[in-house]
Amino acid sequence: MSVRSIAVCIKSVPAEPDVAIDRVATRIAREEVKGTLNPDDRHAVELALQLKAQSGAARVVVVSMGPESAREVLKEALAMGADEAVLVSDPALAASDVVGTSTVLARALEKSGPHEVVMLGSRSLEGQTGAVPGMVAEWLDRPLGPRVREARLEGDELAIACVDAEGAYAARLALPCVLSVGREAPRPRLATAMGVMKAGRKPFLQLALADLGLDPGSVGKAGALARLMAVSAAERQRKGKTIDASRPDALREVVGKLSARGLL
Amino acid sequence: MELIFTEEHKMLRQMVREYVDREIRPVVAEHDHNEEIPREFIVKMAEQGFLGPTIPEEFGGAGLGEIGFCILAEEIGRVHSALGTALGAHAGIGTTGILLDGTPEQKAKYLPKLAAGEMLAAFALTEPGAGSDAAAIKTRAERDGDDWVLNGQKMWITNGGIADLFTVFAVTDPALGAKGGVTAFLVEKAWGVEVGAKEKKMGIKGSDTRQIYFKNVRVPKENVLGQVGLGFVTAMKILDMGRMILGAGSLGAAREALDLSIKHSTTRIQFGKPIAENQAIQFYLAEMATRIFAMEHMVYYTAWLADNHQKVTLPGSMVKLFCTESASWIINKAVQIHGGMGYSAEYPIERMFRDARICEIFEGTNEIQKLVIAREVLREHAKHAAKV
Amino acid sequence: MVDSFDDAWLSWASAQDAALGSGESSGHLNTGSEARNIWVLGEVRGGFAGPELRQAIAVARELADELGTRVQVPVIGAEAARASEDLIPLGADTVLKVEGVETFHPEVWTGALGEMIARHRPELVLVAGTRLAEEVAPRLAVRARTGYIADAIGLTLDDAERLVRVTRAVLGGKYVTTSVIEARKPQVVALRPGAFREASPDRNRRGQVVPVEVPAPAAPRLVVGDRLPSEGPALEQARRLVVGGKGVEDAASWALLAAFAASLGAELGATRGAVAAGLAGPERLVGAAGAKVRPDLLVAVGLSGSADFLGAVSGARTLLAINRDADAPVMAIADFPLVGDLATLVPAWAQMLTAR
Repeated sequence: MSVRSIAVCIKSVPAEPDVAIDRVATRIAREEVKGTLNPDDRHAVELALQLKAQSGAARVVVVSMGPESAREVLKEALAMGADEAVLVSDPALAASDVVGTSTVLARALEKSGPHEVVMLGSRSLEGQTGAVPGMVAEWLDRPLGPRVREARLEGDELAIACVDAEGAYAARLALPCVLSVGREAPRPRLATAMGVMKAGRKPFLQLALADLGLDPGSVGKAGALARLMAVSAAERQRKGKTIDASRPDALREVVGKLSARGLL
Repeated sequence: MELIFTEEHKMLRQMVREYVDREIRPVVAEHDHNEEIPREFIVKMAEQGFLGPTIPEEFGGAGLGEIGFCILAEEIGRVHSALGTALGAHAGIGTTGILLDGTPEQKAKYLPKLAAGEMLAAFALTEPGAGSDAAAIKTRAERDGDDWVLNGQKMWITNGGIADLFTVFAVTDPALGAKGGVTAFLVEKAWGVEVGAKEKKMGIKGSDTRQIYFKNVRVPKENVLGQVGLGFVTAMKILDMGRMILGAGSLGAAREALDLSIKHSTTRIQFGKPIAENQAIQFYLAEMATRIFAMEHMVYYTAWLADNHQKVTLPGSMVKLFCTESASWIINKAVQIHGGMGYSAEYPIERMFRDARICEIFEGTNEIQKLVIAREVLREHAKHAAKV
Repeated sequence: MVDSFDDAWLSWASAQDAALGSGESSGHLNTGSEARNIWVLGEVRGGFAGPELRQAIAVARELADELGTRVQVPVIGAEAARASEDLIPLGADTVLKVEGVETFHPEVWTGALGEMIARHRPELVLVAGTRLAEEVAPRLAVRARTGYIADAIGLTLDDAERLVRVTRAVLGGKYVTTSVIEARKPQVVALRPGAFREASPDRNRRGQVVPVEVPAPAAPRLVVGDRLPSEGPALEQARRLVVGGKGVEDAASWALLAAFAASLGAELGATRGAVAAGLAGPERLVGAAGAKVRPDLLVAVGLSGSADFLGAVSGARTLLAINRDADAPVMAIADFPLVGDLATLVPAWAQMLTAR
């Protein structure tokens, strides 16, 4: 199988997680916070562009589910060099849980496909579940390449390098497949000025829930199997008394305590 | 500014800012210290499209328009004025002549190379005896068969030592002088242009400024830019477009100076409180911010006029005058707010102070700008009075 | 792909009811129509339970005691006997020895577990937040048409409904959310490594090893090859970690910090601010967009403690911070908040280390 189309699912995440969000509801008020392309997704777009060049694929399609902020990150990816964009936007999709999100993405990928390779960032800054790539792979009945840092087409398969707790390993993945791309993947390129100007002219498909043929009761807040009950500000847990290091023996005492705990 | 900036402009600014933070901030002090920006550093920016911002896409440029070029100049001007100057000389006044008055053959031959950084450009009008009095240039071009032979000398040429292509203004008919006796030429360095030593300057030290010499340099007739005898018209058109880019660079430097001043004054504690709580400092910050607000609107409105094919002689002049003076004032105040640190070479403020000073002098001194503005204002008045 | 969850659930549930009683009795394994038992999925390496699995069993044990149900741990056939010597004292009631699966492969393990979950209907599946939480558990949740909550940092029980309420952190750790999977069983929940403490083993605990047959797996579509050299610092596995922030003002101070980390036998990380300032490369980033770390000792030098950093280091056991500002956020959560200048403290400490 040759690779003709590579899809990348991308997401907008809050640009400044430190910015205090005044209105805390059972969904974070996204519209008020400036969005940016999720860092792992940026790596995924870069890997997709490199794989396109190496494999001779015809196009890289970026897909995002979300409100207006999703449109901006799709444009950013187009400016980096992606060829087409698909935006899935519908008020009914708000507050989707991870299963709902993966369902929608899988359906959008089917509608805009076929894509022999689908890539997603391993984790998002916002949700941090790391689950979406695996779920999308399951919906599409494809194998998953986990935490990939390299991918090349060799014959009918992808030769990949994956990162794990002990380091890294090589693997081969049958096509069609799904790749989860981590921050160990190549450094994402910046958009070029030419890319920025061309982005607005590239094909941009917008889909609503009705276009996906999904039951509204199965997505969004209505369909969320993991129901969000409450959101609150995190509390700091540890409290050590501050130690004035200008006291002559302060450091020595601390080092002694650490040593006693076997930490040094 | 929302009225003017499109989504592309916002993406462009974001992208340039990331590039500046990643690639430019780390090296600016080194370039100032070594008094050099390595050529490869400039050429590498071609990948981002920075070397041909207003060159149309069909010639390999980015096709950003003047607003886009101003955004680029502003974001670079925040951090590295010397690079901004080099870029302005190459992509602005060094290229604009071909864009405005070039033949299709000249465009096809040179624009792609300029966009790709294969050739770097410079603008050569000023001479030892002809600064503000540009009409007093003496560099001579005499016809010999199919060529023009150039003899003369130019001074204070930005990119002098690194440029491959010069837009040179020479006298073709001494009797006619500026009105009909000056012609613009596209001169390739390879045809024998000699460069003098690098000038040692107060500021923009990374920018390569030289005297250049023409000793019987043969220029083919195909390289006449515009019409023979109308070189001065070409020069004025080019300079008109250059002024808003310079204004944008000054705007960027002023913004950076304000940002640094706010950061400093809110963290510097004297007499038990941040100095930003002192009215004297607050008044400075207020005046800086107000001037920046004005500068920003002048620059981008003028760029908008240019992109909409309106005449920018008068607005450009006002932009150059106001922005360069304001930037100098703002940066001077930034030095004051930073106190001793503003004077120390460990911090960027003193370099910004030195870099800003040239802006009131080059690209037409501010005194010349005032003459231009006064002339236009009086001319308008005379027209109106004549009607009554 | 189905268009409605309800259709899938109903057809699967009725198929299970029809299959009741057709399998051999397997001890305490649930073959009834009500979901029961807590399953724990984690990594067993060479027959030894990994730390994340040990933490998950402790959580499962507490919940099982409250619910009056059992803790059951599926383990690859070859490792089950040895693993049971760890798992049962730690709180497992049953080790499910999965016959025919001799080594870990994500596709094979997902297939086996998926079939077992459909057959035996646990009410809760706790997953150690390792690669299982990315390669196996999400696929199981989709296969079972159930909900999934990952990166849990706290669990409470709603006894009446037999539901766990899961606490997790979002937006760089600034906010915590409470979620529950109500309409489906099993509830699948992955736990953040280091967020829970493992229990002390009780050598008197009794339990069983029960063999379980699963259908032969299909040929895997992912073929694992050789190990590769890892690139960049091993921040996530580091037992000791020194992280520098923007407050380490210049390259010379950074070099000093790097030397200090080396003499401490620690890895060196950097905050977003330090990477942006060019002090360290992005491969050293510790934060929401970088490595999430769980060292025994974390020394935070010259960093104020942004929410995205604090969220990424919440698994550190002991946190020592060096900062000039006693009110910096990192100082409020540090076990040893040292107020002082890193320019004097770091060399002084380095000197103490070399003196030993």
